[in-house]
Amino acid sequence: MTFKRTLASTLALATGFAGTAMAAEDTLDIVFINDGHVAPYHVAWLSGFEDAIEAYDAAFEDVKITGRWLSAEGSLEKMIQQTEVTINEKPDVMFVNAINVDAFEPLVAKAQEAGITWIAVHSPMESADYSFTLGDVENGTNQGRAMCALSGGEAYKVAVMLGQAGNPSGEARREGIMKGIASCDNVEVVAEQPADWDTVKAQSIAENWLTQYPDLDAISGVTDAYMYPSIAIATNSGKDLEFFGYDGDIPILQQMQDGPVKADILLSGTREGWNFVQMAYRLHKGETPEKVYDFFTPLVMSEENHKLALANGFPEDVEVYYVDQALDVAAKGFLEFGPDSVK
Amino acid sequence: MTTATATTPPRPGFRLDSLARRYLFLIGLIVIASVGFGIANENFYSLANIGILLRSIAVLFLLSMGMTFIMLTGGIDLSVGSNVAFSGGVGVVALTATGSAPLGFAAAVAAGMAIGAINGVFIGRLRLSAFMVTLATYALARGMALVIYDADSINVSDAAFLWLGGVSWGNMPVVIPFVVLVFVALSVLLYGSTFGRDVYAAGSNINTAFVLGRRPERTLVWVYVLSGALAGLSAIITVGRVSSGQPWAGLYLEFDAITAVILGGTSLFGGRGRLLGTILGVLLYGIIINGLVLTGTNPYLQSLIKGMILLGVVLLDTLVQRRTAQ
Amino acid sequence: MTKQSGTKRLDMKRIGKSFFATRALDEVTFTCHAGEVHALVGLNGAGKSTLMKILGGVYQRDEGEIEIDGAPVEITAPSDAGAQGIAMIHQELSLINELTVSGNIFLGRELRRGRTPFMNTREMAAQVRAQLDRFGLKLDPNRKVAELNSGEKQIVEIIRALMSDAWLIVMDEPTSALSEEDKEMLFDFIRKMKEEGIAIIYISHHMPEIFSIAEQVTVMRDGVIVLSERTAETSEDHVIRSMTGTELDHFVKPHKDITGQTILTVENLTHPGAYEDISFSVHEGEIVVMTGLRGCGAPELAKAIFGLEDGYEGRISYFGRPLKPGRGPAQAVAEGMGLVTENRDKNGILPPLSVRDNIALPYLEKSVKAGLIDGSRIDALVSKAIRDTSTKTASPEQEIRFLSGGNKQKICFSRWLDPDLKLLILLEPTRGIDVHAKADIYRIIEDLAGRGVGILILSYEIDEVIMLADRVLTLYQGETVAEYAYPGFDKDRMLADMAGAGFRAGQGH
Repeated sequence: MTFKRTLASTLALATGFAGTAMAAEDTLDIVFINDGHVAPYHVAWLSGFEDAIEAYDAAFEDVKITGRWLSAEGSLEKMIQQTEVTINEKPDVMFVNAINVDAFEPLVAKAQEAGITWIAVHSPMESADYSFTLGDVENGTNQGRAMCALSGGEAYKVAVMLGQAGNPSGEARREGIMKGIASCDNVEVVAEQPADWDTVKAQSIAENWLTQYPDLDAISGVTDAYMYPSIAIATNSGKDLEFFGYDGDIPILQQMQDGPVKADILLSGTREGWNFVQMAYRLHKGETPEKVYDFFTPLVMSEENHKLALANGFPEDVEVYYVDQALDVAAKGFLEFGPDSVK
Repeated sequence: MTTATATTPPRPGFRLDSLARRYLFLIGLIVIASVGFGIANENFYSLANIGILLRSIAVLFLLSMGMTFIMLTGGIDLSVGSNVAFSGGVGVVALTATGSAPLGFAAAVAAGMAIGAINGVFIGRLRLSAFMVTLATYALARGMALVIYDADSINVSDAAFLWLGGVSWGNMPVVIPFVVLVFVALSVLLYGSTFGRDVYAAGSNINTAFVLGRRPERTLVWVYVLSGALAGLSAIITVGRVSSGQPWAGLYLEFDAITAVILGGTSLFGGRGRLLGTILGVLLYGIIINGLVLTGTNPYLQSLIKGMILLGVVLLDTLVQRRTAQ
Repeated sequence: MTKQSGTKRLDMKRIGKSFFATRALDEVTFTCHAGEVHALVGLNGAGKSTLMKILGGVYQRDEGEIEIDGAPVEITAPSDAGAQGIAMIHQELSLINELTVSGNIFLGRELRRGRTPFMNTREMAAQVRAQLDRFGLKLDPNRKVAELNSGEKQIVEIIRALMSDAWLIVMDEPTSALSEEDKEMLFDFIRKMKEEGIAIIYISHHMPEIFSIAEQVTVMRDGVIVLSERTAETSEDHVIRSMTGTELDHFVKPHKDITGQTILTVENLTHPGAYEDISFSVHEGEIVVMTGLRGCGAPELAKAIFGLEDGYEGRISYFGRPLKPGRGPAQAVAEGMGLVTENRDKNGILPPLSVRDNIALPYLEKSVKAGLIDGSRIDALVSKAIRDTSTKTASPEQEIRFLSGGNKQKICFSRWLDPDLKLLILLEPTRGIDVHAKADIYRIIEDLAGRGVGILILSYEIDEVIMLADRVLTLYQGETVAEYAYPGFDKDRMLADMAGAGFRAGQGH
């Protein structure tokens, strides 16, 4: 024990010196703690984040920009531990996609005490410095409205796959979708079931639905992760279903031009990852964005479908990207959020 | 131990220390990991980080000690993680209903023990497989937690209720001395009491224990109740740590606990192992997780590294054992 | 596959083997001849199983040579031994319970219907039946192995070996789990195999068996051969002396008068299918031995007395007080009863625990001080137990699973050296134990009786019955045939009782 203590104090001293020595250079250290790492969305998100860090570090020579991400693998305990360790490391900005915001209130206070800017991801927090939100209710409403406008006016049966019980983001998306669907009378929700953000669970749920509702017209989901198995199962069983996605995963966007996917929400993990770094950089430069920052998320449709939808009364003020444009910005996050956007 | 071993043929002399050898090996790994992480990130040895590290594994300590008792009887308890969420829910609801922290504590521990008692009665009295029964209560307790919480978290602001999990004396979280106290108490129970001997006897050969009049079926019930009580305590700590009751608390903790107990050298088949091994197992596990975060190791690799360490320790141990046995 | 009787077939020359510093075998030379039984004897640890493992390809020899029919061979794996026609019949039988007799015998080389993947079960059964008939064995090839008794299972294993062209059969303690009836069946089978020119290595502790069936006997001690002679030219005593290296201290039953009070009275005890209308009593210091063939109902009876079973009618009284059926072992132990079961490994010992823990378990409650176990009291008790039973263990902390069978059994006994013990029930107390340990165990039993403990034993070995008992109860299919009191024992009549002869002739004597 004495050995450790001596070592600890020596190292503490060393850190002190190192700290003062380093202060001369301008640094920006960004940490992103995510709730899980299971869906293609996460992969795109985190790689977008990593690419953006590199691009910003290369583009701005006056600031040394570093960053890393952690995944809690769905465990609250793990996430808290990772957050505590990270706070002790004193980065400049922390993006935290909390599994449950209440559980993180004490840590937000601790981080702010240590001079860290806390950005709550997706689920807004009153105490956080900023909240990075997705406008889930609005996006969901757009998806539901698109469904109404493209359903053709006749009886149209849809099954909706939900997030994990109690997850705010999933609940908000559901609320929006239901609100959008309620704008017309012909679309009927025949089933709703949580798939816990899990592709494998989504697969068995989709299988059950296809057996249970032989006249099902469409499947809607709160994440594109559900679309992969659902499309595969429908194709294999020869059913002609339509799909309404959420996330803007590139493989799903690719299924939109003449494919079974009719509308999607262009979050795109890559875009979001880039947006994080852009936001952190802007904060570092002294800008003050809105306390609740809404991620710009257009709806994606094919041009043809958009026209059809408009003809069926789809509101004109909803921002829509056509598939090519969506694919372009989804693949290249720097188009919207790169260093050029802040120069 | 006697010194007689020195004069006996080589085989039994070596066997005797197989657990001690495992502990030395674990301590070695802990030292190597600590030195390595310390070099990679000077923050590793900061008192604050040590406090964080210990606090982060406090719950795992408690659950793993309960799991050690259970695995000594040759059983397994997959329900502990879900039980943390369930008993936490009961405790928080009791607290909000009565406004009394002691009543909340009692309710949490009692709820944990109730799940344990269900496990114990099915496994001990009705002789069902522990894996089967606790797999069922794993789902059952999580489901009840979701119902109690209505799938949403509940904020807790009662200072007394949050004290155990939330408060630190300087860099020392109060939960650490508490865990040490529990460890001492459980050690006395396991090594000093007749109950402890019965735990080993039930795991070594339940038929023999039965014929010798040791009532192993009763021992099993109490072992699962103990594990449930520790889950209840863990729930209180978890609530204190996050100032709220969480329906998804404790997710996958049962696997971490089983991992730590196996790392600590307790036999999957019962009858062999000690609490010390489990403590070392948890410590190693905690240091690795903490260090991997501190060194910014790619999260893709973290799971891989954990798996490799478990496999490596078990493999090496088996190889050494085979060599000395031949 | 057969050679003329008397031809030398196996010749193991100057075999040596060491494990680290321990010399397990030293210049061991061992031969086998066609049509002969070669008995291999020695105490546990004498090296006989090491020698057989070298022959079976489990271990590799360090020195020496193995020749078969005069040609040197290498046996580096168990499969090599099989290919050379050497078959090991293990104590732990390696049959699959869910398959039939012929299914087991043809396992891995099933006969098919033509080129189809379907098995020709009829042809397999016919081939097995032909083999069984050849040796005069009555066994249905279509029966499931699970339904067979240990003797029959052993026969299936041997037939399997013979049908894979084995000419040398190694049997390790083949009779340890067999009833008298099955033993006779096995011996007939062995005689028939000899006529067919098969060579047999027979490992056993039982002198009468060896001398009735083997042509040659080899004795090993401490890794060397100390005696190898034709059985016709040596004697049981000589063989035993060579095994132990000393004169065997024969156990002599001490004289005593049974005058104490009655401990246990069993009246008209009946459990349909297990035992019927059994009555007897056990007094202080008395040794009552129940004997019969396997299936005589005695183990069930013993378990009923110990409170493990409750489906019986009749009455069991203990010190005049009636006992509640199925009250459980915890109650029985609290009342001063003890039970040593017939199957040490299944429910006799706690394998991963130390000798100390194994001994101390039943005494725990008596060694508690202020809620905690008093270690020094346990230490004293354990070392006394080890001393009194002359158990050989490196230390009390040694794990019990590394002890020999005899020492394990002594520990099963030493647990009951409690001064409060009133009645001890022993099921097959010397099963699978070498001669040395046997004498020790007999002495422990007599010591306990001398202290006033009532003892109820189940034994299937007639010589042991006669050597130990103050009173003998012969059972046949769950019913009492006769009761004998010391010294009026008549071995022949007892054997007849056990076989049911006396029973059918008109109920007892």
